[in-house]
Amino acid sequence: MPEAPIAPPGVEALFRAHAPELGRYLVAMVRDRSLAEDLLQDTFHDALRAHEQLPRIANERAWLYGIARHRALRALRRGRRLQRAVVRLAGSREVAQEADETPISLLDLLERELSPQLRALVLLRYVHGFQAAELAEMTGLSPEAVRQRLARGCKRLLEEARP
Amino acid sequence: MIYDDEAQITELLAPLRRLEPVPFTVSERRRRRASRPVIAAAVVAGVLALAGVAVAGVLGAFDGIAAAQHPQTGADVIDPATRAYMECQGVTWPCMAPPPRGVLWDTTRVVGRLPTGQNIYVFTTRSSELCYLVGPPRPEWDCEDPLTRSHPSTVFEYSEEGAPYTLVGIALDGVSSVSFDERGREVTVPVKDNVWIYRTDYAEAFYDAGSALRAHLADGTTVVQTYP
Repeated sequence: MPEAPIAPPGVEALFRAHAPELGRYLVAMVRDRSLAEDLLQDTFHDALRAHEQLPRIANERAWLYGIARHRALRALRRGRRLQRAVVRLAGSREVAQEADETPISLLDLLERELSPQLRALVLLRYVHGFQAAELAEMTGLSPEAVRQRLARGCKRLLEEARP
Repeated sequence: MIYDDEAQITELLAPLRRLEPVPFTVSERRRRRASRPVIAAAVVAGVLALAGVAVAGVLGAFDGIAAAQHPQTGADVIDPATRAYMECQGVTWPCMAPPPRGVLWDTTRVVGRLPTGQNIYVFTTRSSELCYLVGPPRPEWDCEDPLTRSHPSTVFEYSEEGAPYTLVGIALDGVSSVSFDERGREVTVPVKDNVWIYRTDYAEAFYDAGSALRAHLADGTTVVQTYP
C-alpha cells in the first residue's frame, strides 16, 4: 500500500490559490503585516491539520476564510488586550502601530467604528464578496442576523465617512 | 436604500482589495509538522495510560481551582458533537476554529454554567495549558498558562457575534471577586466556585477587562493583573 502523503497536495494547491486574498484580508483585520504573515501561516497549518475534511467541504474558499477569520479574531483578542495594557503603562492614549502603507484612514475608520467581529463580517462581505448565507455558515449566525449586523455596520461606516 | 448603502460601502472599501499581499511560503519543516501531533498524541496518551496517572493532578493545570479538583464524571465529559467539532472530525461545516493541540480528554471538568445554559468546562493539554470551553451550542475555547498568584484569573468572551457580550473567567481559589473599568465605571463581579460571569452590551468590555483586571482575594488583598 502506498504511503499516505504528509501534506495532501490538494490543500497546498488550494491554499496557494487563495493565499494572496487571504493575506489581504488578514492585513485589513490586524493592521500588522508581520502578524498577518504569521496568521497566514497559521491558517495554512490549520487547513493542513483539518485536511481530511476537504473532500466534504462544499465551499473551499469560504472554509479557508473561515479559518483565517478565526485566527484573526483570536490574535486581536490577545493583541488588543496587550495594546491596552501598554497604553495604561505608558499613560498614553495612543500606541504606535505597524500600519500598512495603505489607506490608513480607512483602516482607522474600520477599527474605530466596528468591533472585530463586525469588522470581519464587513470585510468578508464587501471586500471579499461573500454572501450572507456563506457568512452565516462561517459564523453560526442566521443569514438574517448576518444581514442585520451588516446593515448596522454599513450605517455606522457611512455616517462617519460622509463629509 | 440598503442596496445604496451596500454599493457605497463596497466603493468605500475598494482600496482594501488592492492591498499588497503578504508573502506566503511553505517550508518542508512546516509541512511535515502538521502530521506530528497525531503521532505524538498517541505516544503520550499511551504512556500516560500505562502509567495510570491522574493526568490533571500531575500536570498541575488545575492547581488552585477547587471546582475542577474532582474525578471526572459523566457530566464532565464533553458531548460527542462538541468534541467532534473541536477535533474537526466527521463534520462537514463549519469547522474553522483551530483545535487545541493535544487535548487530554479525560481532564475535562464542568466548573460552571452560563445563564443561557452553556456549560463552562476546563481541561488541559499535553503541554499543561489551562484550557476552557463554553458551549454547546457554538462552542468557543481558548488555552493559556495555568493560573498563578500574579495571574489569578482568565478572561474569556463567549458571545462572539454581538450583544449581549458575555465575559467568563476562571479564578484561583481565594479570589472572591474581580473588578475592571468599563467606560470609566468600575464593575465588580463576584466569583462563585472559581467562576465569574459578566454580561454587558459594551462590545469592548473584553479588552478592558483583559488588559487590567483586579482580583480581590478573601484575605483582603488585591492583585492587579495585566496582560499577559
